[in-house]
Amino acid sequence: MIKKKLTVKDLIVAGAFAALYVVIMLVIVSTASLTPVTWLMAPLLCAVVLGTVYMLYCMKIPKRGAILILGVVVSLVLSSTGGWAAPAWGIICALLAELLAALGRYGSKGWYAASFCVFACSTAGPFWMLVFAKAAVLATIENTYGAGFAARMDALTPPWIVPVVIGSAVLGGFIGGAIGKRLLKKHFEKAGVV
Amino acid sequence: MITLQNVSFRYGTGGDASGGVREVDLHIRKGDCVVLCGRSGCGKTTLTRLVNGLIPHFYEGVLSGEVRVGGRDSAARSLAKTAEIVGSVFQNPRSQFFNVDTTGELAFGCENQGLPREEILRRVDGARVLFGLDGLMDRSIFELSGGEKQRIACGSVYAAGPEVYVLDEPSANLDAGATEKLRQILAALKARGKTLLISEHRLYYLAELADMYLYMEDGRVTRALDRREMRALPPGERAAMGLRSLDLNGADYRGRAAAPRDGGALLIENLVCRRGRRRVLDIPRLSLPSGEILAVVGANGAGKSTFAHCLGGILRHKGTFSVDGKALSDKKRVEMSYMVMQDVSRQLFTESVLEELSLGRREAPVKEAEDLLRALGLYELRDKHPMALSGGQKQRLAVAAAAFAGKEILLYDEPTSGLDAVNMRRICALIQDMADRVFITAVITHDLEFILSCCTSVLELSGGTVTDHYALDGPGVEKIKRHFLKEVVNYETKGNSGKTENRHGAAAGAGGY
Amino acid sequence: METTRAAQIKKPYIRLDPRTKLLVLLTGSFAALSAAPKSAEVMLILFLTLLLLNERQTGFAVKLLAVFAAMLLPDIFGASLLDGAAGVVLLAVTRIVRIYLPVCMAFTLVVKTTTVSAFIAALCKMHVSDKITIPVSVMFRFIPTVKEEWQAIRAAMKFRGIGISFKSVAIRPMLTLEYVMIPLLMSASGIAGELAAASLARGLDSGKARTCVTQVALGPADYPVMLAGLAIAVCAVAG
Repeated sequence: MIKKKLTVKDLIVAGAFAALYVVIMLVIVSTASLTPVTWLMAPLLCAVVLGTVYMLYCMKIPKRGAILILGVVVSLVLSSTGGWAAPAWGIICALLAELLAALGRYGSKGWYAASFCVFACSTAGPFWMLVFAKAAVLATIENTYGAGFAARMDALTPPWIVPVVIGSAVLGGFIGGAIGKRLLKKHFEKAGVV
Repeated sequence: MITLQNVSFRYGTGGDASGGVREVDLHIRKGDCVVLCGRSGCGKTTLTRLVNGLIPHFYEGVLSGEVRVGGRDSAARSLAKTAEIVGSVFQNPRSQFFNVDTTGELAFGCENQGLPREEILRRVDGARVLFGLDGLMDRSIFELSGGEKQRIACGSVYAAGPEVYVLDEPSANLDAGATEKLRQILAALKARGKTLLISEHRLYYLAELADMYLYMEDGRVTRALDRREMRALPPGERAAMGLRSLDLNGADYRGRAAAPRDGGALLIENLVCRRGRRRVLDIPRLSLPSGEILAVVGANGAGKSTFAHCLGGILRHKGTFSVDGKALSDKKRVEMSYMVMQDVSRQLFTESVLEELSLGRREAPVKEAEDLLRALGLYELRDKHPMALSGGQKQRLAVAAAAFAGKEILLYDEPTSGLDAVNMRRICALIQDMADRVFITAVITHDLEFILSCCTSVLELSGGTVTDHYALDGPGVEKIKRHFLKEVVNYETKGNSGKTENRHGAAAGAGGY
Repeated sequence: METTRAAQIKKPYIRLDPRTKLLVLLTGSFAALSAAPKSAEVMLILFLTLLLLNERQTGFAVKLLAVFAAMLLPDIFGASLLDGAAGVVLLAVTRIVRIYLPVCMAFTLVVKTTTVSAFIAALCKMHVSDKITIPVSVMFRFIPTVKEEWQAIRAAMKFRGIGISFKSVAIRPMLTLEYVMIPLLMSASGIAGELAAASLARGLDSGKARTCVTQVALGPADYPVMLAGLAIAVCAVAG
């Protein structure tokens, strides 16, 4: 362990990586949402691609709080696609990821990769809104068109969809973390960037 | 004002001493303008960082000796305290602003000092008036040209009210007109009694400002010359020191005549490129003979990059490209061409130098690759990561990759920005050598010295149209010199209304593929 | 006057405090996601449109208002006639788009019309820690940088014959990912370092209370806007 406190330099680097993370995430999500199936896969795809960004970020700022900051900033942006539930969920994910990184004493790549499995779930946040939005939609539809109509709509989005999406994000996090670890060694350590 | 006593510094805490400075003793009086010169990697930048406090507060390493600015030891003082008396302008206009809007950026330093709002407004206004920034207030910085960004950077530092200005290669990314504007700003600062420390390769624009030149070699200050001594330096000796020309107009033509080849010519017809509704490029007919080294010149936004991107086939456009009546489709041209970018880091993809060459080739002949690397002095580095190379080495690697892929159209985007004379001559030799092997070579450049030592013909662009196209023979040399002087003069006569810059602005940077 | 290609930044008719805009984002997204009656929904959209017009984001506001109107039509006229799956899907889609529209508008209101300096000042007044304020403001400044880098890297990839088509992703996903990520991360972390150096050399880390050149204070216009935002949220939730 070197220095534990976050410096202003760290905060600026954090902002830059957050921008990178967020831009890539939004590009993938907006491309994926062209079809419903790929839309459900968006958290998985994001996790696979973003693992490298996350791992490099953690190596650049191996300190307590870094992951939480990234989580908070990413969550704030996610709120644009789904109101308040996404950030709440994102911050929970970031806190758990921070915990896993702490178990590795902020120095273990293995633990960092593990923490990404949890962190990656934050992208599944907007899907919670499906649950809330559905309730809202069903309520209005039931008022206007009757229960039968609402029931048919209900069937379109089964309740197990959210856990499945979260599970896929964990899987994606595992793959993305592994890729990130590999590229760190292959490129960034060899080039002397971290 | 600035005193360095027996200062040594090396980066990193490990054993590999890279860069840094050794045993520097230095005294700069208040109001002086001191220029640090010397070859890349000689320690100029390190010296500027010692003065603005980034060493030891930002860059880690081993420091000995004492740096005093304004009477106090800068190692013992916080970076923010140093920032109140030392203002810094950096080389890369893209990475040094914190705000998105220009007015916010001008106020940034003052806000950090916690000055009251009225005082900040007064100072920002002072910077606006002094540097002629009227047309640049309340803009998005991302839409500004490099020169405009650099002026905002100077204005922001000025508003913060420091006594000492430290500038690290401020002109590296600027064209002749913007460099002249920068000179005016520096002159205004000097007239106000500010102390200037400038690390720079381009010396011509500082000729009237510099009180002292410090020549650095290998981390040491080996020579100190005043203005007169520098003037009196024989050109041969200056060149041997690796220094750039002191007089823009005095640069001599050292290029070679275009080797006439009967390889035909690339014919461009009815080339039109639009960005939104605006025509950013409109070339009815242009014929580029093979084997030439074409300098593409023009003010910012004249359509140079757009032209290169159309030529390389990566930008959508109307019109045809053909050789001997045979059309070359966009797709074909992308396969044939390669652009060596200004920031080469963006175009290196693999984990070793050797690998970088064979990228995209299924069965790459290793022997051939190794020979090429030997020819470019990269063989010893073949197993290194491309990003661990120096700037010049990266550039050579990018050219090597193009050569190895058998590219026929080579495009260079400002290959000499921020290069000392030695590295400039090296890249000249490389471009000339490559030009013999390929069909077309085109170089976007703002560097007259480079054009005169390397290119064989010139394409002048303005507002997206070709204003002139000529060979660099006797009259051609006079023409290109006039072109550059005109760019400078436009600024001098029009003062704050420098209309050459961006009158015909193309969209930001490499925007919109 | 000097001519530059950069357009003048738009000034609002009435300046609102960033904190007011943040509150509108919060109440707006609450309202949008509750089972709001159509009247509350329409009120929310009109309210946000007015705020965007005030910031001279006319084109964007009009576009989104039009989309909203189009999404409202099937709900009023067609959907009850269209029995069966098609009707359900149509209704669901239009309803979901209508949920996201106000959130998107409110988000634009906050992000597009607030300068970095005003944003920092507002967050400071809300006693948000530097640990969030600095990363968030750097992020907004860095997003266009990422875009610039990405465009340059795309061009470089084309010259090297590295495509990122559906085909290349399908055949060599790992390699394609590597070729995209490596230059992007390398150049972004380089720029981040330079930005940090430049910001610190200009006294960002002074420890003093920062001041702000844009006045950030709740004015007479802020309170009615906040009240209206809250009222709409209450209407929407209460049904």
